[in-house]
Amino acid sequence: MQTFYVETHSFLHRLNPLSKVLAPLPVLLFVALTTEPWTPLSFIIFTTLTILVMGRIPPQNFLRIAVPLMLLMSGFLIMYPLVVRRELVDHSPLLFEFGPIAVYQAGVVYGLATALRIYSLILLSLLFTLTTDASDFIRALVQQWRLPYKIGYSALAAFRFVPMLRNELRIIQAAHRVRGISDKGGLRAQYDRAQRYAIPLLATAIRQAERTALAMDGRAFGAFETRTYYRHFSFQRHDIIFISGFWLISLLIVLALWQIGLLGSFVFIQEL
Amino acid sequence: MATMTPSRKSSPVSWKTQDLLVTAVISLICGIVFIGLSYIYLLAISALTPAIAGALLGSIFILPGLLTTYIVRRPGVALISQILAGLVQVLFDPTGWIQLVIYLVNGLLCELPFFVTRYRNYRLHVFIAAGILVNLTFLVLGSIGFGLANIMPQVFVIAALLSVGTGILVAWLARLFGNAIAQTGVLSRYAVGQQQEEI
Repeated sequence: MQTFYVETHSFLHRLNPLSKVLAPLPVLLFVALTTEPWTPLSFIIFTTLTILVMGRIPPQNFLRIAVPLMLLMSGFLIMYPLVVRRELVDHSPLLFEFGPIAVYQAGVVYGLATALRIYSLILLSLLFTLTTDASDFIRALVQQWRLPYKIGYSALAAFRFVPMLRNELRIIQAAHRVRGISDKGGLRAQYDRAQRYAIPLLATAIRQAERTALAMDGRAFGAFETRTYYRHFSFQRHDIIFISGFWLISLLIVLALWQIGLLGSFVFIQEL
Repeated sequence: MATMTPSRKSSPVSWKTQDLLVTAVISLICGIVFIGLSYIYLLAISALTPAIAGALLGSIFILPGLLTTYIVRRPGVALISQILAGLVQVLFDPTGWIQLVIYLVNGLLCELPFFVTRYRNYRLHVFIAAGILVNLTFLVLGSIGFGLANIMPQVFVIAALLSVGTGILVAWLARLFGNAIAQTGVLSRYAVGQQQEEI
């Protein structure tokens, strides 16, 4: 199974995992409330540059993830103009009409704005995903944000189950084939197969989990309130520089958009 | 070293490691299935509008919370299980930590009906309440985030009705899975497993 983490050395990779959450957070909330296409578009450009330059992610890696996601977003352009409330858009030029379906220009702009908005939210989180090792993120959560370490380390232990589960699935498949259950294609067969595999897989996984739990108990997991860590996570100077820099540039972008009058109204006070 | 004594009630989670790990693997398997499903969900969001997509597919994402609640039956298990499934998304989903936040909110909502009934009632209707609660909350949240307020009211009504339907469906599904696993005998330590043996 493919994770999105790209292992290189860069400024973004050296940052604390949590600062890559904190930096885009206010921007995310802000962009989620905008209604015009310009704000998301400028943040899409800003985030892409940050990922490529400061994260040193090879462009082909980035595009392999970014382009399919963009294609997924194109559905908004087709669907939104059809379902948007008529009275909000019928002041704008009519693009075409077919029976009960009428597409107005404002409707299309609205679809575009929504697509761009969601795409910019995805990119803002991709900044984290491409440059952060998930295990480090869990360790930082445990050490800095007080995620109970029992939960954090259970997750890390469970991640180790992935290869085992894949192996187990292969065994179950073989067992079914040996008993003469055909492996035909088709949606119906696919569904039947998923059903046949799910329960044995869950059962063996639970059995394995109980064994693992015994082994962890044997090593005094969770016996003490506090524990010591091999790797320590804390916010350092470069984290603070990154977070404040990210916020400052975002603020400047918003101010610039506001100055040229491209920053539209927000979700609550909307006129299309 | 002599001063270090194992604590009786250790950390916020005073659970047996076994319960925790059983919760973890169930959440892991659900989480892995959801990796594929979240792309379908994204496609549905863009093709069917967020309201309808959320109503159709949204509630399936609380399956780990409900399933582990049905099996382990401890306070907080739904929340922990959703956090763990969310951590799987951090590993395999492009939107990583945002998913984790969504799963966390899901977990809190999923936990609420069981909290209100003081963790004594594990009948079907409490599970249904959790399913519907999650669905409707996300419909309301979505109307802010996705600008659903601008969508035709008819679409909104259809979405609300579908939400109730899938909320019931996911509750039923969780119990179906729970009972099916119990039949294999691996849950003999738990209440579900013992029910099965009586039958």
